[in-house]
Amino acid sequence: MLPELSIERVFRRELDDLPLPPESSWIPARVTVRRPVSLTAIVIAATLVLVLGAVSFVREAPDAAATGRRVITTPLLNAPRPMCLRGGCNVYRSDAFGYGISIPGDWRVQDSSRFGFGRSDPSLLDRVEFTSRTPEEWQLLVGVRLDLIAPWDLFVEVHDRNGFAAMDWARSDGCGRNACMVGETTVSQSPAYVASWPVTSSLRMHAYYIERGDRMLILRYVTEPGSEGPHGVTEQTLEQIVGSIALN
Amino acid sequence: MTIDAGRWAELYRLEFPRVYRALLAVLRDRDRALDALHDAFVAGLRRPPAHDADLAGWLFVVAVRSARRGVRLPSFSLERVRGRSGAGDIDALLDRMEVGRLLAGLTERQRAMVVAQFYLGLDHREIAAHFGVKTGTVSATLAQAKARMRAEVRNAS
Repeated sequence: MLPELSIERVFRRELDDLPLPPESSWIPARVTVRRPVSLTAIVIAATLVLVLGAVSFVREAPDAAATGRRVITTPLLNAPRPMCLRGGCNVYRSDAFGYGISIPGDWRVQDSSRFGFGRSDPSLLDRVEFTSRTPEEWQLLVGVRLDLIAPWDLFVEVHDRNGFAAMDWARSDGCGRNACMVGETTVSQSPAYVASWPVTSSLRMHAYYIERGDRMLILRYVTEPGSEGPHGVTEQTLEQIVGSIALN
Repeated sequence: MTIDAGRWAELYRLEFPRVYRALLAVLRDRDRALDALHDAFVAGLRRPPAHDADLAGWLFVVAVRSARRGVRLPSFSLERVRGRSGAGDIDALLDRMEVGRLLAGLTERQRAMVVAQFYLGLDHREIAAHFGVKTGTVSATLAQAKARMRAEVRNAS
């Protein structure tokens, strides 16, 4: 069946049959035009990004309704007041997409959209990432791969629903291909489809799908069962944040 | 001898098929395997390995580590639910293979070490050096993995 001595041969014979992607995709496109960059240039670029980011934040600050992308400290006026978590009350409000969510005082919004985060997904209208990590910790984890879900971060996504039901969305995400636990719950008085499935041997995806007319609101996070996240984040913390969402 | 960018790309292309297939066997996902290998390529551009011997092992371990750092966002190709398959076809292909079925019962870490040994041909010392663990840890992990694979073979027969 698989005697010890022939294992190598069996591995080679079988794995050598696995299909390869087109050769044009072997080298990542993002580095084909990259040139060596000096440390000084990196420092200057990082400083510029910080300065521009600060200027942009100050400019955007009075216009929350237009951007819907910053953390504010006042509760929603026309939705139930979100709860305060871990001794701090930090409310993110998206007027454009009609929700408000409360994050712990030491959490922040990780704005990755400006780097092209998720643009390859045509149905995606908005994605906001909430994290307990510092910008340095987040950068260290995600690096240049901005299409990654950082475990223990919370994502709120708004999609064009394209007529698909919550269950289809969950299956498309990976629920169907993996041993998936599903259920139904209520989030801010709206019915939600809940799914949870393993994404690697140690990480597990949790997602809440809420149909809102033509749109699909998805709250998702990845945990490492049996472990604690950065800065003491637990599954309970994430569930509390999900439970704090207020929908208009 | 220092590896320059041109030489690095050339060596990477040579090793790509073997390392990519090794990653497929471990990660069971085409996108993750390709992303992880891209990361390893970029890492090598920034800081190439000291020498070009055992480049496959170097690429493989850097890619495995990269794949562990996070999870790719789902791509929302809803056509998948209507029959088209993405990562699932690799799962299905591996499940049809004897090796794929045996590896499926292992943890990702065990799979990585088993593939490093039996497919990439690294010995325990090399695996330990690449993964940054003790040789004893590699031996123990591989012993557990092999015991599990043997049990799987017994169950199957």
